[in-house]
Amino acid sequence: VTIERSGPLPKDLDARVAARDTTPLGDGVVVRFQRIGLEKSPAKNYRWELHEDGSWYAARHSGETEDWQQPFDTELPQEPVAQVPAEAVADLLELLASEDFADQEPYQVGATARGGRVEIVRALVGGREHEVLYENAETPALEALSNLFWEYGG
Amino acid sequence: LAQRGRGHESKDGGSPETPARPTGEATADHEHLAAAVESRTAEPKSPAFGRVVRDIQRRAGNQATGSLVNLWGRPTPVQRHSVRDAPPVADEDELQNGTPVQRWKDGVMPTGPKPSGMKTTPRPAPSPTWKKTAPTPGVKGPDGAKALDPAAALSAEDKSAVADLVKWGLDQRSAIAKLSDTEFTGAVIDYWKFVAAGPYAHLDYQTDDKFGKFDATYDAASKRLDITMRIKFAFPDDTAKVGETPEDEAKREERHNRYVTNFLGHVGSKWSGKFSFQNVRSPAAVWGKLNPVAVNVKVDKTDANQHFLAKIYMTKEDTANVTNSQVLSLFKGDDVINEAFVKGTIAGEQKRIKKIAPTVGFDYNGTELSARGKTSLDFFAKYLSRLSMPKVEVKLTGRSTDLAYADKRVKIVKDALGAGGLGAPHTVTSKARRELGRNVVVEGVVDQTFRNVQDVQAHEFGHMLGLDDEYEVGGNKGKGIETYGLTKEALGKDYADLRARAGTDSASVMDGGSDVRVEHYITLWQVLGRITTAKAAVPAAKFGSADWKFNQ
Repeated sequence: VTIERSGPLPKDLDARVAARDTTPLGDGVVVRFQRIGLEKSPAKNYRWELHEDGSWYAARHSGETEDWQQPFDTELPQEPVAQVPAEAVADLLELLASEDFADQEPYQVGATARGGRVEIVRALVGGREHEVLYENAETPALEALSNLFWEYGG
Repeated sequence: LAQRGRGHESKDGGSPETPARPTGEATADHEHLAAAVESRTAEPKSPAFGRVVRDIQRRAGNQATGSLVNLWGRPTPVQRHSVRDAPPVADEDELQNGTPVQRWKDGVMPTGPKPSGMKTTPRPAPSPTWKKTAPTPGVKGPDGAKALDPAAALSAEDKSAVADLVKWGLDQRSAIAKLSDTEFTGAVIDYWKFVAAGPYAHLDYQTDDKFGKFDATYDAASKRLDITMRIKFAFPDDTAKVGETPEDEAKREERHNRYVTNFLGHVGSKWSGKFSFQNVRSPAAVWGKLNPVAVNVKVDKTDANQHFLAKIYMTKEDTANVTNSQVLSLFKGDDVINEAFVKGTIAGEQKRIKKIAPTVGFDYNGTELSARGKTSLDFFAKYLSRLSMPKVEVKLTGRSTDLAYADKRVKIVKDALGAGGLGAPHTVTSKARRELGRNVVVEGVVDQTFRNVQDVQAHEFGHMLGLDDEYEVGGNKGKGIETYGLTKEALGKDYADLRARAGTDSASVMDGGSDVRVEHYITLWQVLGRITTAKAAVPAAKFGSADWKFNQ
C-alpha cells in the first residue's frame, strides 16, 4: 500500500474528477468504480458497476471528444455485459473491508505526480456506503478492482 | 592558442566574430592587457600611464595649432578631452612610492574597499597617436590621407596590451582605440577567464518543482548548454517467466532494447536544439561572443546513479506519469502517437492568435508605423515564429480611401512581420482595399486541415525537465499554471499571459500536442543563469538570469 497523504476532498478538485458520478448506489449495486486519467486525453477513462448478484455493467470512453473535461461520454449498458462469480464478489468486498474502506478519508494520494489517474470507489461495505478518491495510489483492493475491468471488460 | 587566428573582424571593425578559444594558458596570454587595464583603472599609480599623459601634455603645448590630431590628421574632440581633462600626474617617484596599487592576483581583481587616495573612476586615456610624425608608408586613411604609425607612441606595456586585443580579434587601430575603454578591456579579460575556466556544470540539478532532474553543463567555448539525463529502465510486466527458453529471453531483451533505443532517440531529437539563448551583458561587443548558446538535450541509459527510474509497462494500460521521487511510468500505447484525440485544438490556437493579431493604424497620409504598431507586430511575428504547428496563414488587409496608401501600408506591415521573424511554415497574403479607414488589419487563420497529435513520451519528458501541465489540472486555472512566474521572468509578461491559458486546447507538447514551444526551455534557461552565477568567478558582477535571453 502506498499512500502519501490523505484527507478531505480538495477544494480545487480537478474539473474532470468533479464531474464524476456522485449519485448514491442503485438498488443491488455494491461497488461503483470510475477511473479518470489526468492526461489531456480521456481515451483511457472507464467505469463499471458490480451488483451483489455478480451482474457486471461497464463502459469506457469512446476516445473521441469535443470536451476533454467530460470524463465519460458513454452510458453504462442497460443489460449486464458479464457475470462475476459470487465468490469473487465476496472476496472483493472482504478485501475492501480489510482495508477499512468505510472509514478511510475521502481523498487518498499515493504519489505526488504529474499525470497519472484518479480512481473513484463507491462501495457498500459493512452496511455503509462510502466514497473514496485515490490519486495515483496503489493498494491491493485498487489492484483487484482494476483487474476486474480487464477481466470482464466493458 | 592555435585557434585564436580564427577570430576576425566584422565589417564595422569593432565587433569581431568568435574569438579563439582560450585554453588553460589564457591567464598568461592576457597578462599584458590586464596590466594595461590596471594602469587605467588604478592610476595615478601606474608609471607607464603617467609617462604617456605627461608626454601628451608636453606635446600638446608645442602644437602650433593648439589642437590634437588623430591617426588621420584630423582634430578630434575626444583627444582634446583626453588632454584637457587629464588629472595632474604625480612624479614617477611619488607614483612608485605611493599608495598600494590594486593588482590582479591570480587573474582576479581584488575586491573590498579600495585604498584611500585611489581613484575609482576610469578616465579616457590619451591617444598615443596625436604626434605629427611621418606617416607610415603605404598606410592610408579613409579619405586617402597618409596615416601615422598607430603604435609608434605606445609604451611597451600598451603595445603588449594591443597585441592581446589583436589576438582577441580586433585590428590594430581598433585595439589602440579600445585601450582607453576600460569597460571593454576589463570585459575582454573577464571573457577570457570566463571561457577558460569552463565548462561550468551543475550535476544532478533538481528543478524548483522537484520533478525535474538532470545534469547541466555549460561550455562557453563551444557555446553549448548540454542537458544530460540518465535513466534506468525497468520492464515490470515483461520479466523472465518460469520455463523461459533462451530464445524467449533473447526476444525479451530485444524488445526492451528496441524500446529504449526508440525512446532515447525520440525524446532527444524532440527536445534538443529547438531554441537557443543569448547573453546580453554589456559590452555586447565582448559578451555577445558567447552567443548563440545552443541547447543539446541528451538522454542516456544507465544501470546506476540514475536521475530517473523509468517503469515501462508493455501490456498494462494506464496513464503515464512522473513522480517527484523521479519515477517515470509509461504504459502500453504510450510509444504511439495518439492522433486527434481532442477536436478543439484548432479552435484553441485560433482563439489565441486572434487575441494577438493587431489592427495597425496610420496617421493621415502617413506611412510610418507607430511605436505601438511596431510592438504589436513584433509580438505577433515572434509568437508565430516560435510556433511550428499548426501552420497559420496571416492575412493582411490595407484599408484606405486612397488605394496607393493602402498598398504601401500593407507592404510596411508585411516587412515588419518579416523583420520580427515571421516565416515558414506560416504564410502571409495581402491585399489593399479602397474603403474608409487608415489601417492594416492583421488576421491569422489556423490551418483547418491540421490534426493534433499527442506525444506522450515527449510530454512526460517535459515533466522530467521540470515543466508542469498546461491544461487545467486540479484548480490551476489561468495563471495558476506553476511555471507562469518563470515564463514571465524569462519571456515577459505579455507572453506569459498569452500562454497561461489553461483550459484551451493547444498543439503544445505540454498540453495535448507534440510541439515543443519556447516556454518549454524556461527551466534550461534558469539553470544556465544559475550555473553562470554560482560557478563562475568572473565577471565580478555575476551573471544572472537577466543576462541571458532567448533568441528569436
